[in-house]
Amino acid sequence: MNITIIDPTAVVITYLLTTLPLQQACAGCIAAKQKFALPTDAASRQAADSWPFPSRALRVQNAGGVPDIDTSRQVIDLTITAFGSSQADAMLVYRAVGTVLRTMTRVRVELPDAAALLYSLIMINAPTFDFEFLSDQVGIDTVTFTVRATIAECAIP
Amino acid sequence: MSCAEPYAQITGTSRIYLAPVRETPPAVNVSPVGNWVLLGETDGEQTVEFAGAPTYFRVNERTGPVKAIRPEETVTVSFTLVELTHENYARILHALSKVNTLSSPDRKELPFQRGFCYTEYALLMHGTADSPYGLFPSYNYFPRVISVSEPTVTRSKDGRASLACQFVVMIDYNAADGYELGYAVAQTN
Repeated sequence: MNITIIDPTAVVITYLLTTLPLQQACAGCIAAKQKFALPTDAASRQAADSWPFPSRALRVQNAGGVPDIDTSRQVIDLTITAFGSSQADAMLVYRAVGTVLRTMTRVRVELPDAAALLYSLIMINAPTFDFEFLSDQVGIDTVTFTVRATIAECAIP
Repeated sequence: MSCAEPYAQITGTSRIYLAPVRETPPAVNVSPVGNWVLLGETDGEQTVEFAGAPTYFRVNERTGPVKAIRPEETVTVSFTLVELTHENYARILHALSKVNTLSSPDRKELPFQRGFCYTEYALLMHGTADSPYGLFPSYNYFPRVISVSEPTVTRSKDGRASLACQFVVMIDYNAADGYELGYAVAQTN
């Protein structure tokens, strides 16, 4: 049988990009790595698909977890970092994520090569403030927390 | 391992609604309205337990049972309610009508004595994406239940008071054969 195993991080990022609270909070700046613009002019930023600095944004990274070895689910923890021009600004992004998680149910997520089924997305620890240096002299406020995603292992019809 | 039926893995919790006993359930693709009252937020697991120990018949010539019957059965719905308005509290202890609304100052009083008789309700556990056949709604409907909850309401410095709720399903004589103790409905398309 030809089956397509789903990339769980892609599912979560794609889902978060589709939600209205996060579209309003960080305007599409959600990715597995931060893309803050080191090019300084708008044209270069656009060419590099980078994010304006500073801006509200979200980084979603795999953080381990306990795999489900019995049923066809992927259970993964994800470290989510919310960026903002201040701690309060970063908390706006965190609060938007909270709004999304509070209301979500099982949802179909369309990926470029397949459709995925996201069962649940829950927050499993509280937010922590930090300051992340992007270069020797430039940094940005962050709020970091962890979510646990449960996703159907294979593509759905 | 087969990946054929990802929808059949049901996740998350459902919303619990109460209504007067034998209230007609909504269409499966419609959110409960009218007499259906959302009971409030719950915490932890929600369970539907099917109990009914079999009675086995054996013969001297065989080692295993040769026949079994189920002489009685019980369906129990359990969950923990954390939204403790007096109205919700009353629905669990006895009945909404026991809540007294008074003035000077404006207040609500909730008598604790539960009395001899149980109040009967209809109960609905509704999930907007719980169908095992796709991203469709699903629910469990129980036409006639009583609250047999005996909660211990605990308050603490770092905790939260809650009501451990338990509803036992009673036979609904008006229901169709096989449906007397409730049923599940799942939208398929």
